[in-house]
Amino acid sequence: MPKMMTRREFLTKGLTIVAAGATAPMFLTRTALALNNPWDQSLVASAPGRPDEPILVVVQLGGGNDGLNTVVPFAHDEYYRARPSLAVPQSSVLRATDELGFHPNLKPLKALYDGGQLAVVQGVGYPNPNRSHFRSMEIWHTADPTGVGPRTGWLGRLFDSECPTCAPTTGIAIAGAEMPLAMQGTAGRAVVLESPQAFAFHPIQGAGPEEAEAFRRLMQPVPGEEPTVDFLTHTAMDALVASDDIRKVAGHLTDDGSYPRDPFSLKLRLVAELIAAGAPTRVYYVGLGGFDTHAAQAGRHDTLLASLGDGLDAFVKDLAQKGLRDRVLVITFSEFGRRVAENGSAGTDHGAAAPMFLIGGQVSPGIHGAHPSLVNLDQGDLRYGVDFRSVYATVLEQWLGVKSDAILGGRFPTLDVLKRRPAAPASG
Amino acid sequence: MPAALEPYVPSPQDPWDESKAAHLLRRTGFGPLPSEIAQAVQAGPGAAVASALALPRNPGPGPAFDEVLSAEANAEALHRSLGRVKVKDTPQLRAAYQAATRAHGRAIMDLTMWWLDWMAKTKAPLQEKLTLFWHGHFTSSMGDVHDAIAMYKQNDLFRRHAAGNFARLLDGVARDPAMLKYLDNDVNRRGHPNENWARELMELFTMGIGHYTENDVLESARAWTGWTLRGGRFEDRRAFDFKPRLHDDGIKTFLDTAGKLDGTDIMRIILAQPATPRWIASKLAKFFVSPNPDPELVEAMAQELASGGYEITPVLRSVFQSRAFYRPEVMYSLVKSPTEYVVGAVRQLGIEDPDWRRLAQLTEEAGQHLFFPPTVAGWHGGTAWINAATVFNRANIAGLLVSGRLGTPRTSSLSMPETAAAQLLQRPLPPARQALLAQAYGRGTGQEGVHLIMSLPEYQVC
Repeated sequence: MPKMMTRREFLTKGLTIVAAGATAPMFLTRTALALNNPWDQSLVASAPGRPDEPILVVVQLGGGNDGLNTVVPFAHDEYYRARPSLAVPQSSVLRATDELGFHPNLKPLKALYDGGQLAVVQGVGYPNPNRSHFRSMEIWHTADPTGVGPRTGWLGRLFDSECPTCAPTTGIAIAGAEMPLAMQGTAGRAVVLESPQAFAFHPIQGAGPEEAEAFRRLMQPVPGEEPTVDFLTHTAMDALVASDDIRKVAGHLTDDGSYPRDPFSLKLRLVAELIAAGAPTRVYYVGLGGFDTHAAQAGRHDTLLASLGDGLDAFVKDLAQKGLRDRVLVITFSEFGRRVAENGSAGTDHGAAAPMFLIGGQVSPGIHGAHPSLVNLDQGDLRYGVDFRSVYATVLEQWLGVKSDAILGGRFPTLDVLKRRPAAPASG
Repeated sequence: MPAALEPYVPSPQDPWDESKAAHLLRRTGFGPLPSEIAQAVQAGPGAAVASALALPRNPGPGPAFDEVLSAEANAEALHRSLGRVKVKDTPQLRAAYQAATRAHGRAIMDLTMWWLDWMAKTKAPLQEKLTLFWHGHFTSSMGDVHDAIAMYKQNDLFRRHAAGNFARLLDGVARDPAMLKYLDNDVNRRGHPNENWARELMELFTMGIGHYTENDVLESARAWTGWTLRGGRFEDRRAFDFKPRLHDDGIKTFLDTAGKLDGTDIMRIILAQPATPRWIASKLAKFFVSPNPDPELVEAMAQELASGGYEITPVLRSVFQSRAFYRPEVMYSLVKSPTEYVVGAVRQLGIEDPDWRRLAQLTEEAGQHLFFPPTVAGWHGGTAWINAATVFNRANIAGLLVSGRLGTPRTSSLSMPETAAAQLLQRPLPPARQALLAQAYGRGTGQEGVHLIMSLPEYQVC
């Protein structure tokens, strides 16, 4: 087992080690063990000259993105035969190789590909693919197709093993009230927020900043409180610290028109601002939903891909301008691709393997892996060639510089998709 | 009576007082009022528990679904008049069906508002609390069911059987249209088994994982073939039907019993497993008693369930009357769900006619979207309700309520810090927090103080 510590265990231990533990936020009641932890960005902020740590941005395409109409196998007749009404015409495919090209609405991603900043991993999936949204999404989030392991996320376990006492904003999901399972761990080092405005205590109408200060002081833990109340005060203190971090950044947000105005792009803009402001965050999680295109797919899927491409384009340009291009890696995934053959209502049903994108200044650009066969199918679906856990292992080991075995519950071969390769630290 | 359920008997050293009465009412209702607590104190523990458990057989009418029904009738009439046409090729007809779909979307919000309002106003709050419990246990989501009337039928089923007989409730759930749709048993047919319902029935609804094999799941799925819906649209999709020609009537072997089993046999076999009363007892104990209930208490509850033919009321009565229920470590050990938080706050602030639409949205933002449970396993509950975002969500909901932006609060009785804290929390506060609240009251009208009390960690628990 990695050095896991629950919030309660940590608190108990913290109290015995740090005299002020009872009245400090959870992440400040750190043990000697946690000092010098490269994961602890709250220390990095006060240690100038320390190298910037790499940042991961996970983009979830919810609903099952149609991989075949994203990276199009335009040289294959089988593709056009299977999709009489939905296939992207050869003439409009943005050709990347003599076999594959991008959907026309992904022009910005094609440009990143040409500029050496985008890698495609083809045919990503897992054994015995599950075609339920819920189950398959859970599999991608937990990295556990068997469902017998702990119900924690691969990123949550990353925080647990590397950084159980880091700042509460080591992971930030820009989503609704529920933390994505992928970010859920035992130590709870990630926050979820919908908007920076809502992520704060608002004094009542007519009351002033004195009330916010009173709230802050009311959340100071009192020794001897029952466990549930104690948990609440510590969570609230973490929340206040995170809120301050985020509002410092959000307060400066100005709309300079460089991002499209759809929600997905605005989430990415917030991520860029948080990174630029030096938030102690190593992993960001952003979603774009609506890919469940069972009927009348064409218009909807086109619009979604345009949002994806334009949003990522603005994000990457913004990062470059901020001098952050080489510090950030974006990965995209969806819970499954879609059936090869279109269905009777000009849509596609749930499928299996699909491509993933990796975007950043440090990727090995190009198309990796072989395109899955369009003939040798599994119940009408593409067979996977790359286990998604190999992509995770690559990101964990070669981008974030941590050992992946314990986090992923096994050894998965890494892929040759990144330039940057920090050695995984010695275990311990 | 097993030791774990030994009854609480008041004594001079351990009297039946406001603290215990308030605890009972917090657990069996939403945000008890001082008058209700005083009444329960006066009644004594036996009568107070009996009163909480007195649930009306006929809880009253639900919401009307006029708009949905008329939109459906329109689409039906149009379809009939057009004869045999394909919906997707007939724009006029497609528009009529889409109008019905949109009506269901509005109706589920109306249903949510109706339920929240009923939770706040009913004289039998335990019935609604149990309905909420079963909604998180026998989950179905509007996101898959797409029919507000079917969701209400399921909600009403939970309400009618709230503290009734678990076996009868289970039988109702197995025939419930929303459940049949949600877990795909409507398409489970001979030769093409769909195991979704068969699996969750055991894993989540009755026994818990580890008490059956994969083969039991497959065999059970065969037994459930043909338990389906009457037809494909509207009212026919809200009616159960057993279709013998879709049923696999071959021999199945399920949990060591072989025979031409069907769904009724599967339920009978499941109910005879010792794992089932344990699973239900454990879930009830986690909802009503403590996040980590004493295993001996759970076992005693399970025995009472099994020996009492799965009657729920006697078990709840034993729990609410037990000494164990009033132990200090049990009090305040549960985290209020967003629904409990909002409904309780509305009651305690005396807001007669709040903006339930906005409150339903705020409850969803705080993590509980009624009629849309996040997964088939329901809401995780407990400390999972609390994260950095929801800490602020709750405080900000309280701010809107207290400032009167969602309805007019009656806060005159909350104008002094000591009485306000006593009324809203029913417990003393640490001196440091008392002092901070007194300062807040000193700054103005008292609204700020009430807002802060409702933002306290002590107000998030019950």
